[in-house]
Amino acid sequence: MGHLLQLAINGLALGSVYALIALGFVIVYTATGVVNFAAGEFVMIGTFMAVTSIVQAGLPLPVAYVATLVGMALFGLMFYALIFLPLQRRPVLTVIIGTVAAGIVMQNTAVLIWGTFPFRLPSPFSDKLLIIAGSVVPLHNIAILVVTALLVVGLYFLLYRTALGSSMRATAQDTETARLMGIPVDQILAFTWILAALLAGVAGLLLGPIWFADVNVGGALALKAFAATIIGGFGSVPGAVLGGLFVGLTEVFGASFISSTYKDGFSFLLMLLFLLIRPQGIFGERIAQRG
Amino acid sequence: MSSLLAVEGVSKRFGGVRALTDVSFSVEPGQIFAIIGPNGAGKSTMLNVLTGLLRPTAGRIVHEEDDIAGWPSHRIIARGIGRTFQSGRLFLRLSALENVMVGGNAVAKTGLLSALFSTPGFRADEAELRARSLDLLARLGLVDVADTNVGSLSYGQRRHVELARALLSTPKLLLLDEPAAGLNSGEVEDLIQLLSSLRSEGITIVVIEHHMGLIMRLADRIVVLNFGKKIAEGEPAEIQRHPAVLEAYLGHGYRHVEV
Amino acid sequence: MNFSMRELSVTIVLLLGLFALHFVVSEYSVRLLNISIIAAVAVLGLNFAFGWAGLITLAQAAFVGFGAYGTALLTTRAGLDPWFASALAIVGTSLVAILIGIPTLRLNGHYLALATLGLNVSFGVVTSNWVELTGGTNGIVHIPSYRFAGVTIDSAAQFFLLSWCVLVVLTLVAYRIRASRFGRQMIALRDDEIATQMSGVNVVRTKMMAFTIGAIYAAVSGVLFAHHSNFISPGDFDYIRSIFYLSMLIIGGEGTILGPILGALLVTFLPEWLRPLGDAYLSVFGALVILVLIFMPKGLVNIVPFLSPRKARDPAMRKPSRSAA
Repeated sequence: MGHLLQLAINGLALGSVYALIALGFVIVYTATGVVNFAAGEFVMIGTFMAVTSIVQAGLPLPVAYVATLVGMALFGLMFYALIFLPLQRRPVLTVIIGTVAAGIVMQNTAVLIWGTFPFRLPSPFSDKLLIIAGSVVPLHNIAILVVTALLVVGLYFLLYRTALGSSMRATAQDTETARLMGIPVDQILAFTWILAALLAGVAGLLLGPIWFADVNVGGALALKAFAATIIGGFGSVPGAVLGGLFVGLTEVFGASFISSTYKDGFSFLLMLLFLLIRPQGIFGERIAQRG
Repeated sequence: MSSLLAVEGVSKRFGGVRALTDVSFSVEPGQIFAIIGPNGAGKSTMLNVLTGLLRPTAGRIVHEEDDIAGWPSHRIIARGIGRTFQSGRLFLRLSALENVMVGGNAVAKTGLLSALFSTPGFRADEAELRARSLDLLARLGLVDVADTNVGSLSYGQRRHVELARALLSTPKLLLLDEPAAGLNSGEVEDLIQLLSSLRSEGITIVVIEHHMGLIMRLADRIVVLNFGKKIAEGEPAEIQRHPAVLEAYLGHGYRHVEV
Repeated sequence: MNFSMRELSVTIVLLLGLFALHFVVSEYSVRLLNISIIAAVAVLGLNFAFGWAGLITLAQAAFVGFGAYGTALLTTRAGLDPWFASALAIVGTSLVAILIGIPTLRLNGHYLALATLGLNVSFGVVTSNWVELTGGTNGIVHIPSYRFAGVTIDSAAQFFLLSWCVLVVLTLVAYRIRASRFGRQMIALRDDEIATQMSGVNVVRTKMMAFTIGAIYAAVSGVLFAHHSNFISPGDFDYIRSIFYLSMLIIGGEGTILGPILGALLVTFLPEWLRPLGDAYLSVFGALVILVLIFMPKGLVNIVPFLSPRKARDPAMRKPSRSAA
């Protein structure tokens, strides 16, 4: 029993990180139709901004976190301006290839700046453990759950209870009409990318202490985010959260009970299953299919 | 005369929306049969159901003694049915000529291997397809733009290309969705002549239209839809005076005045 | 056939130029040419499925992998002759493609993209982990080279002759398909699927055809790859490669036959040309790709003004092209 609880909490914690990445991914997709292949690299950059602030500049943790988030917001804005804006009117696939190329640039620039050696990021909870119902759980994982829950609630509030959120949803539903209604669509889109970058940054900060800060982690993370989005439902914000949790749980339980070598494979096979049987995911829109 | 096309009790629902409710009519061979009605009446939906793009929720569609309701589109088209769209749907990366040639698919004779090895059979097939496509384009006054990119053609020209494509497989039944939309009066006149001559060649035409002048001059029979239901059917003169039709278009309190 | 003929003539010139080039450049460059050609074959295949028919498939690298692993296993484990093994691998891959196509081609747009992505990733997971069959991440070594008329084809120049011939044949096949109703149907499919249905085309069969032909080309690329490097490992066929093929297609000019060749050449050679920049060379490469995407919307193919599609012209200038029939 204690073992199961431990696995569950660890799975949910990992899943929460995936959920945050998937959230950033989904808000960009619903607003612009762009599948951001650099989503994993966004998280990586977030982790390394933390590395620079904490390990290299030696800033106290709270200051470093703020610095990282500010840095990520700026990064999101830069990505919007340099990659998205020039390609905005092109077919979506061109923009997607653009994000792929951007991911390459990001990853290799990261290598240039920080080298290929992974860094250890300290957790603000300095490896403290908690004992719950007979299972030993890192405090950091509990913190991940709390932070993610707060962010998700905050995001819900933003999207559904503020004017900014309505503008975002309007832009996502029909960009041209939103523009005609006087919504500053370009600013909303810029904000969307910034928000996605921030979510990725938080994910990076939370993930760093568990996984090491590694320049090559982007690809694997992006795939988990995709799997989460498929399972949860492609256009769906609650779907991203649920999907992320699902992927995290599958990975942890799969690694423990079936095989740890195949652990990455479980999420993808799950994703495949959904695609064949229920492509709209748990929450997604119905897709018209013609035989 | 047994009918060419008999629509029997066709209904189509999209969730809670009843696009078509229990519509029945039949089309005799060699007729020009018009479907009219206010916007949103379900006319295009009917065409989509007839051509297999939508599966009817209920009802039968009897074409030459087979119930083709729910059949896949390519099998329906292969029975000698052609269809055009109000917006003139074309293949933008192909030239006008190639657009028309795609319409010949249902009557193609040679396969992929013949194409790969450019056998005499393949070349004869292609040449014939090309020639017939050019003839159709010529008939519609488009032979000069045969090799050009359709993206640079005018709206009227595009619709002609689409019509040529539908005609290439020598259909016996043509389904036209608002062929006169966007045309000026000279072009409408040409269209009327064209449809007349197609009728005299034995092609049965079902046409959705709003252009009353065209309808009244050409249609042998008219069915009127409103909110997915058939509200009237008959010859042009009857339909013009039919109270339900007038109400559908003009609202209550209209009094018909004979001039 | 108007713009296709122009494109064909430029393609022929390019192919002949490459042939001439291989005599004069360094052996390293010839190796790079071989790598580009092997990639170009896969990208040509992708053009059928995506460039023409609009199927967003991210599984092309997996199909290359099926071909490569197929021939590698048949030669190293079953001792078959490389030519025979290659033929079997290609046929096998096409069957796999048909099987995969049946369920996945019913999906549309992004869902197809993600299903094929999942497929490619699954391929990677299986090849990395089924160690008894595939050697896992260590891959398969000592794959024999082709032999022809008593000569082992293992030098760069020798392999160039083989791969160049294969490229020429497959390019001509692509042009023949373009000049037939099959090519027109596939192109029509992406342009307007509904209008294609209304033209009497069996859309399901057309999608299968485009997908399968794409997979066959990929398998050819795979067998060439296996017998060229004599060593394969799962990483050669990961989803990143699939995205690279897509990028080559878009950069070169999607929907054309010349485009895949140009794209494969550029994406293979450009990083090499940038190597003198040192560690930053991949970042510069990525940045240049972004610039190409921004400033050349239709791909490299449009650098050649000769190839811009015809607009409606003055009828007096048009050469008569009507057939006598």
